[in-house]
Amino acid sequence: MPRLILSMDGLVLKEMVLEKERTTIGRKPHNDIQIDNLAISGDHAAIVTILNDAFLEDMNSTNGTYVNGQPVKKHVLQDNDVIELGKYRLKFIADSSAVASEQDEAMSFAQTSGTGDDFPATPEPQAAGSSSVPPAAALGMIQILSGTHAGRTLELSKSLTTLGKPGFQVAVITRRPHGYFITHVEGTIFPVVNGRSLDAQAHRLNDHDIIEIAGVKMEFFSQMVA
Amino acid sequence: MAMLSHVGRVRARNEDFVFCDEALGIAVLADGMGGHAGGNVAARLAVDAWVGRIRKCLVEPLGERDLRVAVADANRVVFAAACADPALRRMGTTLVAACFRRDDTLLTCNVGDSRLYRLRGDVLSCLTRDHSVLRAQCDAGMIESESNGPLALRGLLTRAVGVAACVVADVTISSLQPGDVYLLCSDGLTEMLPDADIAHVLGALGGNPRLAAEHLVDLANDRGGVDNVSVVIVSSNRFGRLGAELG
Repeated sequence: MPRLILSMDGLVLKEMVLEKERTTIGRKPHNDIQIDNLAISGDHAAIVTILNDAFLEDMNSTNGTYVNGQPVKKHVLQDNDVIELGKYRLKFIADSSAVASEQDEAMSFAQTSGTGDDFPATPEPQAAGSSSVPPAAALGMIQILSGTHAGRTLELSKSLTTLGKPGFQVAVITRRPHGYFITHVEGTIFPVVNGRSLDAQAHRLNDHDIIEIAGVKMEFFSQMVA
Repeated sequence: MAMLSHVGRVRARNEDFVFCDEALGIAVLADGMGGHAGGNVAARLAVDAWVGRIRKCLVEPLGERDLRVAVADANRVVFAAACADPALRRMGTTLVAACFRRDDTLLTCNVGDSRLYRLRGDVLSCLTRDHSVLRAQCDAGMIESESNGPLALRGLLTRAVGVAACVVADVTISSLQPGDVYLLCSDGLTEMLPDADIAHVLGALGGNPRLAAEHLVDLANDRGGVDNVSVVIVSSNRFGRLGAELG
């Protein structure tokens, strides 16, 4: 846990552990750290501690709160910061004891799990954080069947792939955890799947669906990936 | 211009509020504070007050001062409501807004951690600066990036609308270029999606902002949807970027 070392004129007066979420400093007796000196305001400053982080706030004191020589109103405390109130000094020690290492472990765990968020509600564990798409069980592909690019295949590895002729007709195939979907994007003609024209709604693609966009026929299929 | 606000997959209530008006050229988004009572009230009050003030200023081209005054109005309204009703005490909201002026100038203002992004060419830039504890720690060099800061500090703001008698908004001015796509979003989106994914969606679907908005919200929900997700997309692009040209 973070600690404070109170000193005056180089003499250490007291050492305190920041155990409470909010630690108040001031001249009045109700403060957690009471400093009975007229240069200190009744309610001079407060430190809010969350896990291993601490925030110093000046409570509109008459003579001000200084950190490393600079006047502050609000300040995120860093290891070895020196807080000055009048002639008193409070050295902030961000601790490296058991609590901190436990937290580091928690953090490194969170990092390996991806974005640093750990969601129990997520349907499947995901390697987010990179720009990779959510893992679908299968990788979708498009094989172009007609037109100048006939025979070409296109991997649908991104979260979305747009296809078409700009200004004429464009459709998008989106990759989601529960499958691939095709949606009309622009143009007056809508994509055709297995001979049926789509409406504005997203349409789920099944293996070997034949899609027609901008007069070009193509086939959707998916492959299991290791 | 298109907007979409979704409750997400975990939260019971949507505390985000969005507004946009293509004729006036304004878009605004607020993310009410989750932990506090009345977050949805705060977001709505702030947006309404902000839009109300901007409408009055529109006789002349908007200036930086108008945006600051509008944020001050929003702050006053939310703070007064919070003080008047014990059930709403300590409510607050973020606010990010964009004003597209006819002389191809963009004015923005923000308080809190809702962001404004711009996609220009292939480059996605965040035009706003979060007022959050993690961002402050990052700037101070205490953590490498905002995403590997302590989880307990996520979403803690250093500034918000309506929690104190006054608040200072950041205001920026930039120039608009043809082809730019702009995105206003709440942290429900940016916590779920890396910038690369946002850039990809905006680039590919810039020609159809409505679809781009739906897709961003779907993606955020697919990845967990732990918070309300709200987006406003403003695009000057008639066509998206194609993954494959056919024919």
